[in-house]
Amino acid sequence: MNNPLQTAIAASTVVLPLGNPTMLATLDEGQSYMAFYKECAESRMTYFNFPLQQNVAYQFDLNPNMREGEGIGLLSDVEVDGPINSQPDAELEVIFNGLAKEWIEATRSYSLNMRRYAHPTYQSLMHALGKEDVKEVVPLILRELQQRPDVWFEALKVLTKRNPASQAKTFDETVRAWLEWGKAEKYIV
Amino acid sequence: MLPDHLARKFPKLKADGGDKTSEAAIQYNCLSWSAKRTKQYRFEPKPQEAWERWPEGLPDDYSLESFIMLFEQLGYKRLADIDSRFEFFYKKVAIYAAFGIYGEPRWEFTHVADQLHSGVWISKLGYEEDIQHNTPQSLEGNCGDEYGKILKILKKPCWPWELAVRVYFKLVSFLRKSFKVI
Repeated sequence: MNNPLQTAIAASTVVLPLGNPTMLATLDEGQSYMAFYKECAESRMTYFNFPLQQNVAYQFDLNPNMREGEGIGLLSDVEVDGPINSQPDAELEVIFNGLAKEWIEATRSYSLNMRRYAHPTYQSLMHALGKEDVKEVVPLILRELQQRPDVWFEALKVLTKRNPASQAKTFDETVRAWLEWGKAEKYIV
Repeated sequence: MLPDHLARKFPKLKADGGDKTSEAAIQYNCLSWSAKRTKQYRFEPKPQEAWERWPEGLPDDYSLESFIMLFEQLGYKRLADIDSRFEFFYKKVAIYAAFGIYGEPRWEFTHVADQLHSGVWISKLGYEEDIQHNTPQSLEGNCGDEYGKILKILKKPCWPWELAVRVYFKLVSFLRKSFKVI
């Protein structure tokens, strides 16, 4: 285990298999979130992340509204610093694309943006996957915004701590402002 | 014609005469459409973007009550019953809610539909297309992407010009039934 961030995630996460709340699977010490997510997907688990304390017994009830593959992240934000990577890791891209598709399909008929933002998959993208490497996730979000415009603005604001679209008057202007910012910052080309 | 993806998400719509009336759009939502008939902005408590708005003076706590009050501010009055029948002199809106969707044990706003002068209902389905449907009940349910249940119906008197439009629709309906000419 080299990355202290990954250690922090591993120490605070528990996994519940879909449909069987009595069987707990725990994210191993030293296991990255990406590897963890892949395992969950392969074993058809629903994953839930909770902040846990050591030496405390927990019982969780499955949320009946959760769908297969949904998760929730409750980890705090991280600052963006260091060099920008406009060529994200291929594995991360696969995971991101899967989560993005899942979120869009699950929430397109929701009436309120707040409800879309509160969706566990969006929260996972912002707070858990985003922790893998913010500089790698932001280009993925911007590319998604470029190809299929949607309300990715909240995630971008949380991850980058910026809002280049504060003067935008329409949805299209907001999209354009973020894409221009992404190009200027070399997140996308 | 109802698109396949909407027929899958809302299983009762097709049988209720569900029909697409405009393309999918993000810029506006069911609230701004039913309350103001605008495609320029979304009604959303605690607006985050310039194209999201929420009337001053209304609670912005996302409570079901705050969404009902949005329509009361526009002159609608609450009905004691879920009476979605067409009333010639009144416009109606149906407020949908689902229980506990944000983890709290309470009813939360999910959708609003409004009744057109012809008597059919119109809905902007989130970011999806606008649709018409014969009854507001066809969007109720908890399978697919339905909106829970109708928890409140509100109505307000029509303007004189709106009554003239309703007379036209009544006349067309009468001619259809009597002579099958239109």
